[in-house]
Amino acid sequence: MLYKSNLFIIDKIVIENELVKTFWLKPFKKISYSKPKPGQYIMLWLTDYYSSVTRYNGKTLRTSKETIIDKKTFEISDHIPMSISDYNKKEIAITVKNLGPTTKEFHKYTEGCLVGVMGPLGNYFKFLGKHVLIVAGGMGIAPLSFLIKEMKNKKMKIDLLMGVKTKDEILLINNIKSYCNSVNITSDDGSYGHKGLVSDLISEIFDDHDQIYTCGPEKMMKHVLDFSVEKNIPAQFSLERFMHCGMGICGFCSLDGYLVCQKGHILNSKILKDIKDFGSIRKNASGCSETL
Amino acid sequence: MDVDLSVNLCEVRMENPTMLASGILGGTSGSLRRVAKNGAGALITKSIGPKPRKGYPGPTVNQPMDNVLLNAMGLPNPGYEEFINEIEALHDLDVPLIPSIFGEKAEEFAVVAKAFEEAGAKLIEVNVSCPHPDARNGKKELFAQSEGETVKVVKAIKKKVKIPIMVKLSPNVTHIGDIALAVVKAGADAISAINTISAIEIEPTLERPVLGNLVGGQSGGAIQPIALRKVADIILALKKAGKDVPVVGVGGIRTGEDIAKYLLLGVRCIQIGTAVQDDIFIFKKCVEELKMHMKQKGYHNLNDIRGNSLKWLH
Repeated sequence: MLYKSNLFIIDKIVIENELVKTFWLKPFKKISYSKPKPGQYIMLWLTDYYSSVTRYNGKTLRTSKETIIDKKTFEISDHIPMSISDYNKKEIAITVKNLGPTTKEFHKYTEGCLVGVMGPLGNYFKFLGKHVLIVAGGMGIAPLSFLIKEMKNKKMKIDLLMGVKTKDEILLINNIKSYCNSVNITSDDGSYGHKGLVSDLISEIFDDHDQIYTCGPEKMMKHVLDFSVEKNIPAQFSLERFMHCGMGICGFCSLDGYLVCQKGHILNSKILKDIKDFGSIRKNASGCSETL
Repeated sequence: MDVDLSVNLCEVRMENPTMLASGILGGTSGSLRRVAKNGAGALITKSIGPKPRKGYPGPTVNQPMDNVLLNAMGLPNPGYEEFINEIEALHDLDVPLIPSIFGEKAEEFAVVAKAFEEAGAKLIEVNVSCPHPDARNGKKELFAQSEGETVKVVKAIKKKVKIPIMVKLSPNVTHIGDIALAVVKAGADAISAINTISAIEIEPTLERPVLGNLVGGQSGGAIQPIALRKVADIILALKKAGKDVPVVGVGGIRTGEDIAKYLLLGVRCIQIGTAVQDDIFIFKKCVEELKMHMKQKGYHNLNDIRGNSLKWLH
């Protein structure tokens, strides 16, 4: 596979809540790309203000709505990693939270706008275990909901434990709850389900599970790692690290030498338990260390 | 009899002639350690400057076709003060670690070089051929594209440090041999070449450049013949002037025979960059292939092969 961006058109936008939208992306031209597997990601290319309109095949297409893209904050393009949250008939879904300057601009994109997509990239969750525990924290539900959907054909018994700050952050749950044996939700403020953190509830829910899957804030995943090691249950983690390239060049996503872009995002507990940076340190865009 | 592939580059001893080129996986101690474990003869770090720098906007890399990689990273780095921690974390490594440095002005190069000398570096690579011009802000020329500017940098560094310096040159010049000679006369102890070749990629539907910086540099297998020619030009120019300074070959190396080609032009050793991207085991593989090639040719050490093709180029 060449590491290059192909153009995709935004086919459909689903508003998940005030801050989160799911974008369904369809290849703009006929291209062949491998069917994404749960846990994989794309590098999303958003072009800048200056390239907002283009004409093709008699139609005017937009990479962004020139009238709404903010020239000041988005004078330059960006290329950011995004977990794949669903896939259907050659369309890739990404679920995006309005969090920083780039995602803020992306939220202004409308159906019919063009974006660049490099990928699918990285490794993926392995379908292991018969009775699995899935632990999602906040936006971590995005790749996990794709995983749960794909698990439905594997005859796996799924228990989902989801942690959010507040009830409005509960996402994508309607798409997947029918595939789950049980769904437990915790909220920091008690506005839904159990008041507290997933780490409070995990030992209560834990039964004869033989595999754990998790994605969410790293502090939460660190708890899950410690728990899985204590119970001697294998676990798979979807990680996030700053990356310039997404293809094993820059090395900024290195976790003790493991490149999250290539060897991840999915790492298992066997590898992760020996990685000292996990749950403690990450590099920023300049490569400076930041404490999590 | 076994083949001896060891190299002495400015008193830095390497077990084999492969170095990790600057800019690939060289920004963190973890990834450097991983490359060392996988057989590189020496490691060159990502280019480090006087202060933290975020680099250019994405996309920073693009692969428009096979064996071609374009990049415009814009030298993201944490600055030397923080990066010295990464170097210290590698104190137990038995593979030589060579910091690559850059600056906006000659004096900045010297400050960073001094800091690394104090941190124990035995050799420094000086990156006068990056970053790719900041096209959005009108910066068009690299140090390495001006003989005078490059000489200024070399002199400023040599005034401050005692350790040897290796200057990495840009291929984007008319007479690279002249620049190499000027750099050596100014005090450079070694030359490495080439850095990336200036390049651009256009998205045909959007009718715009792909890289966030608009323009960048090309590396990968496809640049190898160009790099070989530039290296030959440098070596011939230095030879003609009677300067016995080691040259390190860089550009498109993926196999042991690729290394042999550079050695046949007389390089001391070589660097591998882009090929590491999809194959961290490339160093071991190349070394084994080179050993095999030398055995087949009946050679015992690198001096037997070095420069054997130069006679065609006088």
